[in-house]
Order: sequence, then C-alpha cells, then structure tokens
Amino acid sequence: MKRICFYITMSLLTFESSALTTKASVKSPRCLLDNSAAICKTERLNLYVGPQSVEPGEPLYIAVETVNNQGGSGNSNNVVIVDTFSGREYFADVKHGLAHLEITAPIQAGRITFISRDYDIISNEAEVLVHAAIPDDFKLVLEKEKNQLFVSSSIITDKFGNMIEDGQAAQIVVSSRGALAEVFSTQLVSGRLNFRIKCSALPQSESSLSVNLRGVSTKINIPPYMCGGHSR
Amino acid sequence: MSVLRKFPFKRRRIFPVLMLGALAVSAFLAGRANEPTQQFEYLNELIPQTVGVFASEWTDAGVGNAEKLAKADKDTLMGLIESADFGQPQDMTRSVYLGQAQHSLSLNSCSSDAPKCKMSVILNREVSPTYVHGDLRIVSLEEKSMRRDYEVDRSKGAIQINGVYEQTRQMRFKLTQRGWVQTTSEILSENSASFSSSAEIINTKYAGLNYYPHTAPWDKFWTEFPGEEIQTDLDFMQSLGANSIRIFVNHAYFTDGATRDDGLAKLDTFLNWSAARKIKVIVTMFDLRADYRFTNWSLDSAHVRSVVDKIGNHEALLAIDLKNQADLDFENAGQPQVEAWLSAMMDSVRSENSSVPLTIGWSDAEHATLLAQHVDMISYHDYRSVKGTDNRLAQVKAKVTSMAGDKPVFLTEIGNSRWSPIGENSKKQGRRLDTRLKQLADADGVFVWTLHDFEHVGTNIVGHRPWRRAQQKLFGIANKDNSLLPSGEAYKTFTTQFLNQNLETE
Repeated sequence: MKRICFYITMSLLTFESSALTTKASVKSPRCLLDNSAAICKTERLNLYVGPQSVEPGEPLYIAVETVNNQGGSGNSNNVVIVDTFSGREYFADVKHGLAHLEITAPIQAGRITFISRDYDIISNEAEVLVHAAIPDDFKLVLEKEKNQLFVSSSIITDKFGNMIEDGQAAQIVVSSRGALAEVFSTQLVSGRLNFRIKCSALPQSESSLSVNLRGVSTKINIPPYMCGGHSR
Repeated sequence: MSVLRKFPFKRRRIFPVLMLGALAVSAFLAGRANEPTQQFEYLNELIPQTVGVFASEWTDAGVGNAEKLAKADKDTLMGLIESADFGQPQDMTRSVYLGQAQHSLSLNSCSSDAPKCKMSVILNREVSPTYVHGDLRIVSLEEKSMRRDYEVDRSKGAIQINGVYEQTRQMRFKLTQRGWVQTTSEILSENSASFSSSAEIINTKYAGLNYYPHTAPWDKFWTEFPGEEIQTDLDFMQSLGANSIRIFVNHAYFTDGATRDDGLAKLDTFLNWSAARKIKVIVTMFDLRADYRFTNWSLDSAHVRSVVDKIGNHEALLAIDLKNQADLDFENAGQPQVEAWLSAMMDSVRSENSSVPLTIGWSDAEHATLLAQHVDMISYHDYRSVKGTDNRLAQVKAKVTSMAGDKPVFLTEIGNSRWSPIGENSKKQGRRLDTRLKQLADADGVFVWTLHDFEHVGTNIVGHRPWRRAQQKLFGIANKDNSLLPSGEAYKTFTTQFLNQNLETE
C-alpha cells in the first residue's frame, strides 16, 4: 500500500513538473498581437548606439529593444535613455518592441556612455567615442638650433576646442620656387607637431614649409638667413 | 606476396596494376578529405538559387536609411526570410536564426521526421523595412503575406488545411561579425482569409483548338515565338470556326529572371493578336512542371500572380488553367499534395485578381469534379474510347450540378493520332473525331488537340518510347499548307453546328 501511495505521489509530482516545464517552454510569436499576455512582459532591454565613433555634432542613432523572456518583443510602452556623460535623459516611445531616436553627438570629445531603462529594468551600457573634428587653423613657429631648425605648432584643436588626438600623421613638404626639396611626415604628440629640419636639407634660396594635417594646411616661409647658408 | 609466388609469371603485370589501384585509392581519399563535412557551409548554399529572382517583393517604403542598405544586404535579408520557410538543418538555423526567430522556425515541425506535423506556408510575401538603424546594423522588416496552415500525416499521406490567413509579421535582423542574423519573427496581425471568385459566369459555347506553332511546340513556343506563323495560324483557326484556343505557358521561361519579362510581353502580344480576331484564350500554367513540394509554393505563387497581373484583365482571356493534367502527378506527388497545391495557387490568383475564371485541366473524366466547388469552370480531357464520350460528359455534368451547382463543363483536350504501326490513317482519325464531337453537343467548350502535327516531340513530353513520340507527332487536323485532313473537315462542321447554339441562345 505504501509503495502504491509512493508511486501515485511521484507520478503526480512528475506530472506537475512536466506541466510547468511545458508552460515555461511555450514561446509566443504573438506578443505583438496580444501584448497584454503575462508572457510578453519586458524582461530585458537591449541598447544599441551607433556609429560607435563620431565627430562632434554628427548624428547618433539610438535603438532600444524591449525583450520578453522568450526573446520576442516585450510590452513596454516607453523607455528612457540616459547619456551618463551629461546626465541628459531622452524619452522614446516603444512601437512593436523597438524604441528609436536620433540625437546629435556632443561637441566635447571623449567617451560617452548611454544606458536605457524601463522602470527597474536597466539595459546594457553602450559606449560611443566622440573624437575631435577636423583641425582648426594652426600656427607654426620656427626656431634656430645650431645647424638645424626646430619647428613647433601651437596646440591643435578642432573648431570646438577639442584637442586633435595624438598619433595622427601630418605631411611636411619643404619647397623652393615650386620645386620640392624635402617631404616627410611626423605624428601629433600632446596635441602639437614638433619636428626638426637640418639646414643642409634646405635650399640656399628662400624656401617654404607646408604642413598638412587631416586636410588642413599651414604654410610658413623659411628666410635664407635662418640657416644663413653657413651650414654648407 | 603469396599470390605473386603462386603466379610468378604475372608479377610484372600485377605490379603496375597494384600501383594504379593504390593511386586510385589515394585519389579517392584525397577527394573525400576535401568534401565539406556539413551539408551547408556557406550562406549562399542555404539560400535557394532556383530562378535568380525572389518570390517576395521588397519595397523601401520611404523609411529613413532604408535606401542606404546595399542590394547585397537586402538580398541576404530576403534570403533569410525565404529560407526560414523551408526548415533548414539544425546546425545552420542555429547560426543565422537566433532566439525567438529560431523558435518560430521550430513551429514548422514538418522539418523534422515526425509522422504527424504542422506547418505554415507563406505566399505572396511583401516586405518593407519599418526601421533601419543609422549605422545599418539593425533592420526591422514588416512582412505582409498569405499564410496557409497545414497538418500533415505522413503515415497516411494526408494533408489537411487548418486555416488561411492574411497576416503581418515583424522580423528583426542584426548585423553581427558573422553576418546578418534574424532575432525575431512575430505576428502583428492575422485575419482569416477566403478568396472567392468574382468571375463572370461563362454562358457561351466555345469551340477551340489546343495550340503550339508547329515549328516551335512546347518549350520552343516562347523562346522562338514565330510571330508570322502564329498570326497565320490564328487566321486559319478563325476560318475553321474556332472562337477559342488553349495555350501553354512554359514554366522555366516565365520564371527565369532573365526571360520572365520577355515571356510576359510575348504572352500579352499573343492575346492582342487573338483579341483582334475575337478569339478567346485559355492560358494553361505550369506546363512541363510537376513539382508540388511546399518549398516551391512561394515561387509558384509569385509566378502565377505575375502572369495574372499582366493578362488578368485582358479582353482575350477566357480562363487560366492552373495545371495541365495535374491528376497524372497523383502517383508521384500524392493526390493530397497536388490538391493542396492547386488550392493554394487558386487563392494566389484570386488574391491578385478575383475576376479571372479558373479551371484545372484534368486528364480524365474520373477526376473532373475534383475541387469543383472552387473552380469557375470544369475542364477535363477525354482520350478514352470514343464510345461512351457522351455518357462520361453526362456523368460529369450531373456530378458537378450536385456538388457545385451550374458550372460550365469544358473538354479541353480531345483528339486522335493518325499514327498506327502500319502507317498513317487519316480517315480513321477523322471518323473517330467526328464520332466523338457529335457526342459533345452538351459540353460548354470543346478543344481539339491539335491544329498541326509537330515535327519534333521531345522525350520530356511523352517519354522515351519511340511509338509514343511518333503517335504524339500526328495529332494535327490540318496539313502544314493548311489543307484540311478529314479530322479538320469534321472539326469545321462541328464548330458551325456547336457555335450555332450561341446564336439560338441569343
């Protein structure tokens, strides 16, 4: 009798657990049709921000997916997107499991992080790198150092004052009366261009030096007296 | 070695043989080593490449950024959507269909080997993006389509339709490092749909001929399309009293992306020439094609709709014959599969243009009333014994009346070959046709096979047996110079008497 009772109890338990399993594994492709169902409740937010690297003032596209526990569309009505860099909040309506909006990247360069939330549900973080725009005009200064010239620039920034990132290459062209005398390149370090030219590399006549950084050029004349012809 | 010792005189001969054998085994093993370990290794193998065109239509619908999507991306997305209908192997579906989208695939349980399964077939799909992310990494598409739900019992070979719906789905795709993946496939709306006919009732008698140009029969009709010959033949058929003809649309020519538009333009031209002579045309679809697999349905539907879109309202169109002698495919494809396909194609046509009269040209009176409730006119072929032609017609008409009310009954193929093992017999052909035609006064339409003989009958038409091909060549009722054979004379007499009934009705 005990054994029979044990089997009956076990079979009921088994039935119960299989029923639960079945219910939990039901995945509905109909949450957008009837999003009132409990199964369609938003469980997760997926945040996408792109492009992942932008210049100041360029558009940033933000999309938030509301996801139910089946991987389908969750039934949120709206979400908040927070720019953790500035603390600014954006509100977006959810339609068919997707909220999206377009904002403008801030003018200040740096990394900004977004999150989105729907009440207590917080999304993943999405990071965007705002890098400096094209350089603003910059100036070059010539200094004589024994038998060479030291050329240095001011700190180069974009029009918003963001320092141009280090490592960017600038092309330097030395010419005299239309003829090329020297072409080489150097990299931006600490926002400045610093390089030296040996006097022996310069023509004896008046020459000019042109520096091109991301399409922005600055030109400076090198009077013959700077090297004085003595080096030769 | 022992073998070589036993036959030392053959050692020199055996050695090269062994070497060649070893070489062959090495080559075989090397070949095996290069074989793919999976059935599908690349996405382009997964995506069907049948005809170079998609069964679905893509519209950008003015959504921001949609126009920035490259054609390659759109094609990939369409490929993913269409491939999802086919129940692909698990290893492939795992990698390109994720989460809820992967689960949706599993609802089509017929991709497994289960004896009973449920599946949905998606037809007439129109896809448009509802959201394209600015960096083109996320796309949401809305799909409007006809969904047909089936329950398949493989053990009994039964297919039951559970419902037809007009549905809208939303699907989301993401561009990952391994390419586009689909993450959701969700229903936005679904409404039970029925596609009834609004075709005008055919109450005129039609005497016609089945037609191919004799220099370009079957698959050559549309590739060669000899315009001068066709127009001469149309004039000639008109002079025989025919007020209608039945032609065949070659499936391959009208579905290949490279020739489809040309085929449709030629079909339109043909109907224009017919209209100019007041000849009505039955256009028979899916000629020389007997493939009813579910995986083809969306392309078949797109094909039939493209034809109906082009000629559905043409004044010369008498009816669309959905499939020539579909009952001959019962044995290979299974009757339930063929009937399910025919029903689906009927709905496809009617969803495009419900005023087009539809029929199915059954090969035998025995099957003439299948799907009778759904077609606009009954049509069957009668190549059985001349004796009993009238009884068979009477039985079909009675059964149609009891099943589907007063629907016109056409015999869209009758005829006899002049061929016999001891030579041609024109008189016998004429006599038999005359006797048969005289029994068909109660039919609403009678179409004879065929105007002229054909010089060449391919093995794809009647098989490899030479006497069958010889027989098929000699069904013409007129010589090439349009002089009438006795069967032609019988036909001419018949058309006058048969079509006089129209005058009497008026």
